[in-house]
Amino acid sequence: MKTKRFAIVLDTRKCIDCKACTVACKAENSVPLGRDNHRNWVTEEQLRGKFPNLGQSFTPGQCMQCGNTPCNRVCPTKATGVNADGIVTVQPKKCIGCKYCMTACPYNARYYNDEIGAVDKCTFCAHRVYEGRLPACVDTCPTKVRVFGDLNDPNSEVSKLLARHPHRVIKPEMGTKPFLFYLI
Amino acid sequence: MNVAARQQKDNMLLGMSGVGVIAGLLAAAATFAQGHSHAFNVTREIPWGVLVSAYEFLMILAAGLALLVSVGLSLKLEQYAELSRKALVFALASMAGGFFLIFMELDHPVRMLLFAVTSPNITSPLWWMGLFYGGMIAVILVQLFLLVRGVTLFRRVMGMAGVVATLMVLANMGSVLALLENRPFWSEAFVPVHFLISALITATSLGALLVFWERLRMESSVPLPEREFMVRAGRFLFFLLSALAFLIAGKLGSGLYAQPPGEFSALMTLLNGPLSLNFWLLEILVGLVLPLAILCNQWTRTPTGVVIAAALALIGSFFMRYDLVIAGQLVPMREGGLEKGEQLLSYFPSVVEFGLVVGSLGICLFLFILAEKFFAGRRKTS
Repeated sequence: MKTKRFAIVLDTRKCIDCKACTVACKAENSVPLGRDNHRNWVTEEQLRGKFPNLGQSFTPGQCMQCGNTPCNRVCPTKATGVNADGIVTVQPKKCIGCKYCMTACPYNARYYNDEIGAVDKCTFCAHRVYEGRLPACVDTCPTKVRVFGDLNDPNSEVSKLLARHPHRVIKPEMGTKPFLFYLI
Repeated sequence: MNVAARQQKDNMLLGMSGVGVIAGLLAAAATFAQGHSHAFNVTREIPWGVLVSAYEFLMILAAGLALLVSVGLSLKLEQYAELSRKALVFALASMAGGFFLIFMELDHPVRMLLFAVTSPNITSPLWWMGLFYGGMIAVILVQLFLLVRGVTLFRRVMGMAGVVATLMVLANMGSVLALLENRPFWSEAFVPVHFLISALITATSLGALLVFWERLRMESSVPLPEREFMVRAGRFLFFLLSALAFLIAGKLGSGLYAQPPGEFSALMTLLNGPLSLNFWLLEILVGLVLPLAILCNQWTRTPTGVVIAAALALIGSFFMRYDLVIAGQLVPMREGGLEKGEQLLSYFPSVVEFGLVVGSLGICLFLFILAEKFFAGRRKTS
């Protein structure tokens, strides 16, 4: 059986910036309070047009679970690792708090979690996924911006979406090969 | 020689550095009490602050001193044996100050010692740092032994080993920044070369200051051999500062000409942004222009002039490290980290971070003076 390769496909046209995904993530993963402490986020894009003809887009984001991980390369103690299914993880007991991975991440996806004493980041809610459930952010979204699935399964919804629609990734020039795809 | 006056000067410097050590210990206590996130002003977007830049300054100084001594040993420059011994002792003291800073910066330094051995990641420049530091310390200790005991055998070999060890340290320190593709301001060969030249500048400057301090302690005028050393050091410092100025001009030129995204924004933080005062006043004027002006002609390149230029160059070097580390992080990786209407992130060290930096400099000086008292005592009894 082929190894799974998890990915998320986002249709940002549906995003209403309700922040339900960030709240769900914080609740599900016991993310501490505080401005700096979040595993996912929603970026407000620039306003388009002039009043009264205005428009705005929102771009949710989280750890890109990169195929070419700069964080994994720079971690001196292998606290950062990559599962076979592509989920990038952190072993808190090995983290020395050097924050090299935070400096190396092109997406500002990591933060230092004082409560666990280690760097923390989105793990696609691996504890839920391995039980057959969806990540909290995917599950809670009222407009279904995010679709989660296995890219190695050609019949999965993510595979079909990427086949049907043009899509982009964030900062492709970094060579990180992100596995968060944004439909254009 | 007035022994009492010499001891008084040593004790004065010991006292001053002791105050620094106490400040550092108080700051360390505050760090343990409050936790890093409250004691330091680093953030998710700017994870490395003044502790990292000051640590780099002290380690680069140590590597530079060890490199100059190693070159001297390789070339069998026996007339500098005593100064070489002092320089090596200062290098070890500087490393102690640097290790104090990095131990305070890391959230779990004990884990580092454990997992660097049991779970090494050889793709990480930070992992190699530990290995190369170990190599450099081992070489320094052997060189120190050979110099203190007056053993001339193996000096040349240890000199060459020292050159290799220190160049590995400097190249690796540069690669910690230079290998980060997401930080275009750091991501080029400029950084390791910059570190090498900075190491030689700080080491030469400190060498001149060590000679000056020794003369001040002895309350005598500078004898001819040391005058010649100071003038030579001044010429060498002029050459190094010119090379650094050329390197900085090249970096500015290439960044301003092509305006590559990320790098251009970081450059502008230095030229007319939040770091512009540091850059123009402390890096360029104090760290480059004034020393170059003093050292460029024989009328001002006197022992006194060289000491002034050396002190200025050291101050400039400290701020060069700070500006390099901070400018590379002020440009956000994504817009979410910015306050509304802002284009750049901001950072200023906290009181605790200041205290730790003062503490590290205090530890460096304190250990050096103590060591010199020890060596002076040994010379009296032997």
